[in-house]
Parts: sequence; structure tokens; C-alpha cells
Amino acid sequence: MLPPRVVAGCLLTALFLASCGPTYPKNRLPESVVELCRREYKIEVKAQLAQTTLGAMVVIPGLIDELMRQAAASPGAPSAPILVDGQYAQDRLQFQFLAHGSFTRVPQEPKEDERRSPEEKRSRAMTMLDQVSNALRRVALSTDAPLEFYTLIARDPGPTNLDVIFSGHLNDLKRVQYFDISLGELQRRSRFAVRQQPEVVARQMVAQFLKDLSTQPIGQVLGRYGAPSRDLGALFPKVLALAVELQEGGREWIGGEWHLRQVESNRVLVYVPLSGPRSGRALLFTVQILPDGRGTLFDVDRLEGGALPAKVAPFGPPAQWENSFYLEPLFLPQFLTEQITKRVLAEFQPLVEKNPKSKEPAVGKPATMEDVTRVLVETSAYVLSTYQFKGCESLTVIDVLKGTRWTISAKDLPLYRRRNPPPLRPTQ
Amino acid sequence: MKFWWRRLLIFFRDHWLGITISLFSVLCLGLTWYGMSKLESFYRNMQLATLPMTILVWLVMGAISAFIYVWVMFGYFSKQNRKNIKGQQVDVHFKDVIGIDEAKEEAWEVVQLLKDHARLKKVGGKILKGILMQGPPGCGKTYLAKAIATEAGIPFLSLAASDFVEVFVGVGASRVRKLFKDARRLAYANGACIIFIDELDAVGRSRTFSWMGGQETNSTLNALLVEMDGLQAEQENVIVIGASNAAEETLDVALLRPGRFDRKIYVDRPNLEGREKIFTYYLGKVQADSAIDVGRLARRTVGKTPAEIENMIKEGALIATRNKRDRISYDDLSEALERIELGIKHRKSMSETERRLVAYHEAGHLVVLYLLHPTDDVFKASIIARRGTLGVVHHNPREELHTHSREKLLADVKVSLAGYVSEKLVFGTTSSGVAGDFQHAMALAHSMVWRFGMGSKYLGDWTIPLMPASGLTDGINSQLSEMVKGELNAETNNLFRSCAEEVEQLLKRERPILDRFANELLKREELEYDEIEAIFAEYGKPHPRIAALKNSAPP
Repeated sequence: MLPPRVVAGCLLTALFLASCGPTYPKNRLPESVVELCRREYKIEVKAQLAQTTLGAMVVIPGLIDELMRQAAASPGAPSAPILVDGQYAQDRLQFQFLAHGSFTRVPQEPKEDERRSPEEKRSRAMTMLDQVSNALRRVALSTDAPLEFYTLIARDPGPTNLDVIFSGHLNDLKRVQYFDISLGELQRRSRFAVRQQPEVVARQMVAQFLKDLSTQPIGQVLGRYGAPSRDLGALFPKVLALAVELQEGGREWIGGEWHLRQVESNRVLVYVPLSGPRSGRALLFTVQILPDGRGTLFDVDRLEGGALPAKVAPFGPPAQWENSFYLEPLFLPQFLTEQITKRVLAEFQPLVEKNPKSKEPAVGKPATMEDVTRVLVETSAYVLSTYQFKGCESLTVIDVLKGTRWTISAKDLPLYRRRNPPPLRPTQ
Repeated sequence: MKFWWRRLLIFFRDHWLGITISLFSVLCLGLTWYGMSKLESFYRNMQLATLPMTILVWLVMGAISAFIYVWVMFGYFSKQNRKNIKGQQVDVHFKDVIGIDEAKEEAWEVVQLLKDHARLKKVGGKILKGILMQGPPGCGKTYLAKAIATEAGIPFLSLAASDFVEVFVGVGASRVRKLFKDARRLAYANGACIIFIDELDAVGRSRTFSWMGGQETNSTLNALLVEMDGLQAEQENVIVIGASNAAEETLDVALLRPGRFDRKIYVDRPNLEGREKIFTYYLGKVQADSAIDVGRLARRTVGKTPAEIENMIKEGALIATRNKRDRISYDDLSEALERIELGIKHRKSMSETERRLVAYHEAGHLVVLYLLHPTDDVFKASIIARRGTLGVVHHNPREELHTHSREKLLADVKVSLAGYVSEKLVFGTTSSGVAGDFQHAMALAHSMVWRFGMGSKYLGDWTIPLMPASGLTDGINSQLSEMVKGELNAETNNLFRSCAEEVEQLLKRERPILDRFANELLKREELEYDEIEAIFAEYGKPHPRIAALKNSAPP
């Protein structure tokens, strides 16, 4: 017979253990995000899982206006005249920078996000953004799925047609919870991007393409809309057949409801049902989004009897395409590369030449290319070590303007976290 | 289950704080579990991760607060080292109390009274208020009290009287009052309660009324007297059992009057039969050789208390372990007894002359003891130094002696003088080693003449007129004349001298035996009972007692 206190202890332990499972099981993560937003915040979202990235997309009317208003209220430091591009390939981290003006180091003072008063009144758009972001983070933290990143796509349905994308690493969220890093540091580690909505770009491009096809020569149209990466010779017959059909039936055939779906980071499918005598048939455009945000025609297929080609089948019937969205999986090397770039750019600001008549003191001394290099190396050393990233064998920094190159091995990188780091010497 | 509701009431009254804290803790735990189960797993794990440190911080803070609270609110100084023990927890039964049968019988009677106090009340009798247990230390007074508590099945509050004593005046009295208050509550809940105060003489000595301190002891004793038989609103069955080694006369008379310690139980050293039982009992608890003669051990341990016997067996077990044996043998116990009685051997560097002197000294004791002593047996002779002596002849009475005959006392004097006579006879001179012997012999001879009327001229105890309490002296001038003193001293000297002469005669007569024993001691250093017997038998000198037994035996 066990003593009562042992029995009580066992019962308590059992009770605690019984409630120790993950709140959001890995087999229904997107559903959890959707349900949580609906139940607690009364917000409809779409959620998706892409490898180790959990993402959600929410439509927030007036988001861009609100962001613009905030940016106008606290403009922050202007961007320095410097371009930094980072790449991670074959276990090597490489940064190239190009300065096109005078710039200086940003003085050390509290960042804007840390100065902001917590009592500041939040707009409905920002509240929605916070709530969905919270829901996404809660699910991502309290699951047994091996997640690494989260991504929130906030879509403004207004005339700007912009998406705002917030991404971050889950370990950073945990560290904030344990007061290991500050909220400001979390923001510096997070990824923030604005893009044109790919579906809108694709829709506009296809509409314009069809319009131009019926009025302009095929070669001219193809030259304007053809994707640079596509063999136009192979695309020509398809476009020609489409042009003939359009000439026969006129643009009235294209009257049904279009369905769009982004299927890759730079590709969107556009399903255009035909009507009239061509009823039951459809056109399927594959639009490639170029880095500058412009849409180009990658492919076009004529669908007989509504049957979808094999490459499209995984995305389901076109009528359901709008129920989901494309989520780009994130990977640590790329995430860290972007973060380093962001941190380095934040370290510099344009140099304001001192007006001889002004009594204001000079803002700072001009920064040199060596300063940029040093900041790049030190930031890389800091970021790689805080994420304990071991996949980088070396770091290369290239000054594009002068062609100077610095290479630091992974072994030496930690030395640049010290108070007195070793001097940097160009390798060529 | 007669008093279950009273017990429940007392339990709630005594433990209301604990019950409240327990209920609050259960509630908190329940709420914690509920809250934790509602938390998302990440936040729950976060809480669990920080829980140990949080608990540690709370414990430290709680301990500090509790310490300060107890210190300030409850008066740390009046806290006493009292043990509240339930009868069932003591678990010492009367069958475990052995060797003190008479005391046990009296205690049994007390238990019967406690158990049957309802009938006693019906008759109009009153339950005993106090029992005073007296006797030498280690005889089982505490053990007997435990047996009373177990058999009576009532709460048992145990503490030492020295726990009352404190440097602060009034603390002792307040402790007594608190003790009795607690005891009454327990008696209320259980029908009766026993307070056991060990070493009662620490507070129970006769009160002194002077300006030189002692007020704290007086006030403590006064509080005890009042609590035992003072004016009380409710009379509960609280029985006080006091235990003391001190003589009854040293205790305060008010404490001993009926109504306080009504009954006195004398717990004496066990007799032969008792010792046998004790040896059997304790040997049964250890791995002992079955061939051990318990009777012989009991005979060798005349006057030993149960505690000493237990210690002897413990020592025997240590010796057996040291000798890498799994069972305790008779030799181990014998060695243990010698170690306890005579001390540990110290091998000192001595000259041959000195060794001879010691050997003849001890041989003198041995021969005279063996041939003249009417009651004692010699168990061992040794010239190995122990406890500050250079040699020893170990002897014990064959049986308990409660009075000493003139012959026995004379024999004791002669045995004591034998060392001196032997040295003088053999070496023509004597040493300072006789000092202890003379002290013992002189004390005996003096008492024989002065106190026991064993002289030739004076009868009576002539030390009485010298005692202040007798009223025959004022401390300076006694009514005993110098002439009487002189004659008594002369008589003592005569007795002393006649003993010495008789011893000298004997040793001259038995010189070969004396030389033989001295040489044997020089050779072997120690002689056991059997070896001594054998040597005497060689010389045709069997032990007078054995010879007498043989002569009286039927053909």
C-alpha cells in the first residue's frame, strides 16, 4: 500500500502529463490557423504549410494606406546610396556591394520600434494584422511539427494591389518569449517584403495580351509578352492558333469567370473559360512574373471539355483555386542572407553635406568601403553565430566598384565578434 | 471510538491552519492544472520550465517569512523540545520489559487503573495523579514508562526536565503550563494522557529560599506543583510519570505528597534471574553462539543494570566483528565485560624491578582474596596497566549482597591491605601504589568502627553527632568528645593493624603460592579464573567455598 502523499503525487504528475501534448497537432496545422482566427478573432484567413514554413494569407482592406500613414508619421532614416546583394551557394556566403554616393554610419540610438509608445492607438487594419500574426505564431509554437519559419501574407484588396509579407524564424519568437532578445531585435531579424499581387499582375497581363492579340500582329505581341526564358518558337504555334480562334469568334467568347492560382514563386496559372460555341472549352495561361514585377506569357494551352493537363491536376479544379494560395518555403541560408543584407543597410544613411552657414553640427564622417566590408563581416559573424549556422565554409565580400574582394573562412569568422577584431585584408 | 467527536474537534482546533493551507494548496493545484491545460503547449512548457525556479524562490521566501513569523509571534524562547507520541507508536510492551518484575507488576497495576478509570470513577475513586520512578540509571525507568503508554493506549508526552530550564526567568514555568495545557487537550480527546518527565530532579529538587538565584528553578517547580494538584476548572486525566536517579530525600517534599506523586516505583538493578532473562533477551537479538552459558554470564555481572548488559553485548558484537567472526562467543562477551569494567589495556614501559613489585602486589591481593574472602570470587588478575592502574585483581560477589557482614568487610580490608603487605614482605619496602588500597581499606575500617558498631568498645553510628542536621553540632562544636573520637580512631587503627598482621601471617605461610603467582603474572601478565583455580589446586588449596560444598555433599 503506497503512502497517500505518493499516490497524490502520482495523480498530480499524471494530470500534468496528460495535458502535455501539443495543442495543434502536425496533421492539421493549416486548419488550426484558420479555426483559431475564426474562433478568437472572427477573421477569415487561408493557411498553408510548405515544408518547414507555416503561412497564412489574410485580406486586410486599407492595410497599405495604414502602413503609408505610419511611414509618413515616423519616416526613420533614409536609405543610404548603397546596394548590397547577398547570395548563398555551395556552402559559401557571398555579398556584393556597390556605393553610388556618400554615406555615413547611423549613430547608435534606440531604434524607432523601441521608442514607439505601446499605448499608441491601433487602426483596425493593424489590429487585424496583429491578430492574424498572433494566431499564426501561436499555432507555429504549440505544435509537434518540425517547423522553422512562419510567413504571413497580408493582402490589401485596394487599388494598390500590393501584398505585404512578414516572415520570421520560430526560434526568434521563442527567444522573445524567454526575454532572451528584445522585440526590436525580433523585428530586425524578421523579413518584411512588399510585392505586387501575382494574380493581379497575371490577370492584367493576360487581359492585355488577349486584347493586343486580336488587334496586333502575332510576332509583335509575342515579342512583347513572351517570357524571356521561354523558347518563343515553341510558343508561336499555340499563340497563332489562339489568334486564329479569336479572329473567328471575337472576344465575346471570353466571357466566363476567370480563375487564377500562383503555383510557383514566379508563376501564375490563369484559367479562362470560353463561352458561346466554344462553351465547355477553356484557355490555360501560364504567366511568369519577372523580378521587376512585370508579367510575361510562359505558356498557353487550349483545354477541350474542361480536362486539365497533368501539370495542373495537383492544384484541383479551377473553381477551387481561390481557396488556397501559394506559400514559398523558406530556408535558413537564404533567410540569413537577407537578414544580413537588411542589417547592413540599416547601418548606413546618406551623408548630409554640412552647410557652411548652418550652425548644426555635422551628422557624421563619411564611411569608406572598408567600413561597409567591416560591417558586413561583423554582421555576418553575429548572425551566423546567433543562429548557430554551420553550413557556411567561407564568406566573400566584393566591392563591385573597385573589384576588391575579401574572403574570410568560417574558422576566422568568430574573431570578428570580438571587441578588437583582426584587420581585414583584401584577397586580391 | 468513544471520544471520536472530541478528537475530531480537537483535531480541527489544532490543525485548522494546516487544513486551511492544505485545502488552499489543493485549490491552487487544481486551478494550476486547469490553467495549464488551457494554455497552449508552448506556453505550458514555458511555465513548466520556469516552475522549479519559481517553486524554489517561493520556498525560500516562505521559509524566511515562516521563520520570522514563528520567532516574533510564537516566542521562540518558550518553545520546548517536547515529543508528542501516541501509545501505539511507542510500541514497547510489558513483555519486552524484563528483569525488573516487581516494578513491572506495579506499573501493570497503574495500566489497569488507567484502562478502567470509568469503573474507578463509578466507585468514587480518583485516578492516580503521578508516579515517581526511582532507581539507578540504566535500569529501565524510561522503558517501563513507554510500556505503560503502549499498554494503556493513550497519548504520551515525553520530555526531559532539563528542557524546562532556561536562562530566562519565567520561561520554565510557562513551559510547564503549556505542557499541561496540551496534555489536558489530549486527555479531553482521548480520555487520558501521560506526561513523562525524565530526570525529574533537574526541576524537582528541594526549593531554596535565598537571594542568591534559584528563583527560576523554584518558579518552575511551583508551576509543576500547581499544575499537578492545583485549582483547575476542568479535571482531566493527566498522569505524570517522573523518573529520577536522585535520592528521594533530595526531591522537594511538596512534590512527593499524595495527590501529586501518589505512587513510587523503585526500579532496581536486576537480580540473578533478571540478568539471565536480560542476557537471553539481548542475545536473542544478535547472532550469538548457542553454547554461551547465560547463567555464568549472569553470575559474572552482579550489580549490572540492563543498560550495562546491553552495552556489554554491543561491545561483544564489536569484538567478534573485529576478530572476523559471524557469531558472538562467550570469550567476546568476557572481553567486553573486562573492557567495560577494567578499561582498555595500556602497555607501559616499566623496569623489571617495578614489574616485579606490581606482580607481587597483585599476587598478594589475589592470594588473600582467594583464601580469605567469604563472598567474592576472583575472575582475573593482571599486571597490564588500565585506566591509571598498573595492575588489577578483578573480583565480584557470587550473589547479590544487600547487607555486608563483619567478616565480609574485614575480608575486604584484608584484601586491600594484601598488596602493601606483600610488597613489604618480599622487598622489605613499599611503594606509593598502595595509596588507593589504603584509601579503600581505611574507609571500610572507619565505617566499621564509627558507623556499624563493629568495633570492640563503642556501639552505634558515631558520625551522627557530626552531622549538622542531627542538631548535635553547630558546625564547629560537636557534642562528640575528643576522647571518644580518639578512642574510636584508635580502635580503627587497631582493626587496621590486626588485619595487616593477619594478612602478613597468611602470606608468610603461603609464600610459595605468592611467589608462584607473582612469577606467573610476570610471565603471562594475565591469569584467568580457571588458571588461578588450577594453580591453587596444584598446591592443594582448593577454594574454601568449593571445598565446603564438597564436604557438605552427600556421599
